[in-house]
Amino acid sequence: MSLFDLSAVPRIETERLVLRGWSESDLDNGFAAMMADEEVARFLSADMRAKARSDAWRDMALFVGHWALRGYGLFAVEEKATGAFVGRVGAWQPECWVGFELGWALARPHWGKGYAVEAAHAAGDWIFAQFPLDEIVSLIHAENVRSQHLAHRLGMRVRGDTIHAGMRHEIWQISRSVWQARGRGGVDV
Amino acid sequence: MSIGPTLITERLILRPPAHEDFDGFAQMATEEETMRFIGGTAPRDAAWRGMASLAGSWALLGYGMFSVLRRDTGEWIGRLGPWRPGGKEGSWPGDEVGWGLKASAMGQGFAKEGAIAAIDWAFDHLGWEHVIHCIDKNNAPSIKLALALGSQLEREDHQLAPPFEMHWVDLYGQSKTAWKARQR
Repeated sequence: MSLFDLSAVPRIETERLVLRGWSESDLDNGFAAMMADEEVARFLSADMRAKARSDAWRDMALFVGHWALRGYGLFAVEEKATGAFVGRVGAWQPECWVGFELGWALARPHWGKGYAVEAAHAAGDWIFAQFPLDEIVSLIHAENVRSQHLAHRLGMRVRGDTIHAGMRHEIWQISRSVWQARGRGGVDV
Repeated sequence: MSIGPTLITERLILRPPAHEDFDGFAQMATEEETMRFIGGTAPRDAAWRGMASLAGSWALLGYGMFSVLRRDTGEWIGRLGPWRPGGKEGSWPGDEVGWGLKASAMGQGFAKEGAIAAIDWAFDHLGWEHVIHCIDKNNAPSIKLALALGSQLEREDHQLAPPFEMHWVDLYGQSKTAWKARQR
């Protein structure tokens, strides 16, 4: 029996953000509010609706359990200047998943500041540095234009699509070589 | 590294869920009778998420359900233990010790043996003053076990919080004092 030591979740600092492991207090310090926001939750929940606190807790337990079982997972993201909870970003590959995913989702008060691209850059760099992967993917709801735009800005391209939770999702992909060749500011689009 | 304790009983090992338990979780999740009152059957991907959430509960709260293994064969036979999704501030109706074993392990006293160890551990280590069991009205074997553990019906028809708001349960339970005073 072996489980990843959760105290070993790395702490990654970017210019304005910190990517770190989860603590129970994240639920009421921003994560529950983020999932209660229908604009955020609609592309993250199976019924496209806002989630109750109890449901958000289960999401958080799943993220933490993913770290424990896989040794990697989604980081909690906080704003360096204020300590505010910003969202989640990182590696995601539950059982039967489409591939090794780089995922992201931010609370709405933190949209439009460039935080998602900043966090996703750092998480993608960490993933390729830690794991011998040829590529990473991102599964994005077919109507989630904001996220598709971010994937494009990260240098990802659509490889195909799939049905997830009964809804069409695009599979975005980027190879290690393309990821590592692109500039820190992302690919010009 | 361990996210929780290992408890040894006469015939069982209880420890937090680990990666190698997954085939057991996935198989149990397909058993209609077993899953009927504990959330329903689930495909493999959902079974993994369920198992991961138990591990996550251990990491977030310091407790969660244990995987149950037979000492003689090492076989994974189910999961049981302390459970309070959402923690103290959440909407779960109390500090629960719940149980669920796969069909082939039922009827041999394993659930009772494991539940006793889990309740002992919860009262000794988690500061709980009361334990509950959330049980569907039609789940006769679980009601029988709750009563055998000394718990009493405390509240009827409690609606669970999302994502299980379609489920109504009866609450059985007892105080720490009653548990400590009971005949072994």
